[in-house]
Amino acid sequence: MKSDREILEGCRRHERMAQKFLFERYSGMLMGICVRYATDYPEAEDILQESLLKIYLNIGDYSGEGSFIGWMRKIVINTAITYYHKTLKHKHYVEIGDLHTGEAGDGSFRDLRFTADELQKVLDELPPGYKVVFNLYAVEGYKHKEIAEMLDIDINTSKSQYSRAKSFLRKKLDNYK
Amino acid sequence: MSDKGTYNNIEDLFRSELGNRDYPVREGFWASFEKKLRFREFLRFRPGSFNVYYLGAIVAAALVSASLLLSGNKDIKPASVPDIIIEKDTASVQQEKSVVEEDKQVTDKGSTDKKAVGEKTLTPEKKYDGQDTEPAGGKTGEEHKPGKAVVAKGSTRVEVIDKKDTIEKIALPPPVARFTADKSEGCLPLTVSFENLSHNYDSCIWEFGDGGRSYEENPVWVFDSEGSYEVNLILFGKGGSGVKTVETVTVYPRPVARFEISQDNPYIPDEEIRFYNYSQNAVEWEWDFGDGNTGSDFEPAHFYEKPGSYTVSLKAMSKHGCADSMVLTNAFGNNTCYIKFPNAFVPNDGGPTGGYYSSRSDQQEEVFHPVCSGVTSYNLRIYTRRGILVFESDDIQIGWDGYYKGQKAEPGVYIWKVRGVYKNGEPFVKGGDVTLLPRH
Repeated sequence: MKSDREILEGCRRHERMAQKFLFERYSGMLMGICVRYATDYPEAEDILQESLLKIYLNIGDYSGEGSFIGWMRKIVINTAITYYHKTLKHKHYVEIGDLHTGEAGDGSFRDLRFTADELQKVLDELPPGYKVVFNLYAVEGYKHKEIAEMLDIDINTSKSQYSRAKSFLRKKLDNYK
Repeated sequence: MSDKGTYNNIEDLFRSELGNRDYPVREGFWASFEKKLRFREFLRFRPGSFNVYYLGAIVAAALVSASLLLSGNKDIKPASVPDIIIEKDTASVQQEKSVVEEDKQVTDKGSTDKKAVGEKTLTPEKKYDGQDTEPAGGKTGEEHKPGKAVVAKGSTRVEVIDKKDTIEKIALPPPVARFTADKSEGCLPLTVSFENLSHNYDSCIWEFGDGGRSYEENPVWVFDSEGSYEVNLILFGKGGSGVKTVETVTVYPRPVARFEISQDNPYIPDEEIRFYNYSQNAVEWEWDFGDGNTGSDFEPAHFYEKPGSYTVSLKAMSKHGCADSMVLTNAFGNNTCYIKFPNAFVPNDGGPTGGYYSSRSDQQEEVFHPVCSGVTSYNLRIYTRRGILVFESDDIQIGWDGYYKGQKAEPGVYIWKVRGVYKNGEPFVKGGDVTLLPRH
């Protein structure tokens, strides 16, 4: 088994074996991100493909500082956002509608257990815009200010979408079990 | 999966379960991806690896040397260039051969002008000029254009075949995409079964043209809105990716059959029932009036021989043969109760008849009687305008014959009043006037 460093060096020289090693080692993790942002599986594959092309072709730009995995993750997230913007105009924009946007008290999940598949299913029910905001804030840990810049939306839009997405998910999860 | 425990908030829950989740990538993804990657790498300039810029340089060099060494000679076989070059080279050489033949055919027909132009296109550098925009070909560009017009007719087809042959020699057989659908057109909603008859592939994607996709081998798809859809079958295999084939499926709208009846009474003497047709998207109609008669008019009028409850149906068909039907069970059914009176009658001159009537016997309207359905009890009174009762009946089968105390009543206007109960329990009280007309 090659080390990450060896793989990275190989990829910089565009060696096929190294590229394949990189794919085998990290494609699952990267696909995990794609699936979270995409609306369906084919879209997730599209995002993964775009991201991998960027990773392989621009691997020379990776400075070596900071985590290589973090660098790849960031590329995937950016690609997913670009993809979301690109497909936005072709899709019906769905509003969550008249949900109670009030914060339910934290802690109601103490006794509940969900599998990743169950969570993914609930997440997939979110309208695309809300899903992206929720992923960026809750899972990736970006700040609302950063999200607003990334998505080119108002910071308050990011906050309100996040809050609505959250209560939507909470409601769905409460009803799930 | 989630036996790691419980979480205090929703962010933690999603972050820990989904944040670092591995999601397996479809088998075959790498194979198809790798080809795209190679192609993109090929397009990028990188010192130290073979790419399009190097290819360009090699082609340019080959052109120059070819034009110097082989002017007029068609058997070019450079041995040292990479295989892609060979492929292109043989393709274009064979193409040139076909150009010669083509040109000869053209010239045989007459014009020597064309021959001159055609021969010019035989020199290799001009052929390359068409495929790669190299500066080397620039000088011949102007002369080249008129020649192209002559060549273009037959050469494209030949080129395709040549290239395919060459590729097959150096690579695995490419996927061959073919499928059949059990129907290519039909009425909404259209369920179509597709059968994949392709060869040499590992995985496939179906795109149904309505936004839907399937990864199944032989999918069944329901088209639920009208339109013409291009169904794509895309193949991925070791010998090539993205090979696709297209079939069109056309979904026709279904018509809507709707009609109403002019009145709820199936039998009023001498009166036809009109059927009002509110069907949409239809061009042909089949009526079944329920009494053994049928019709095909848009809005037919039908005369029922007998009162009764009939089941009327309408089948509407569109120009594509899609059909819809509407059935009105018991169209004049038992559940419709009514009572109606005429506003005039002409008593016979031959003396009192007793007022007994039937639908058939009273074609002359000699008896004043109601037309009704679903009446269980009944009382009819007829007064003069001064309020004198001239007739009373509790039997619905007995109407007023126009006689009062054995004498023919005076022509003029009489007042009638009826009360009773329908069989659904609903009581009714009605009144009106009727004109007694003298017989001429």
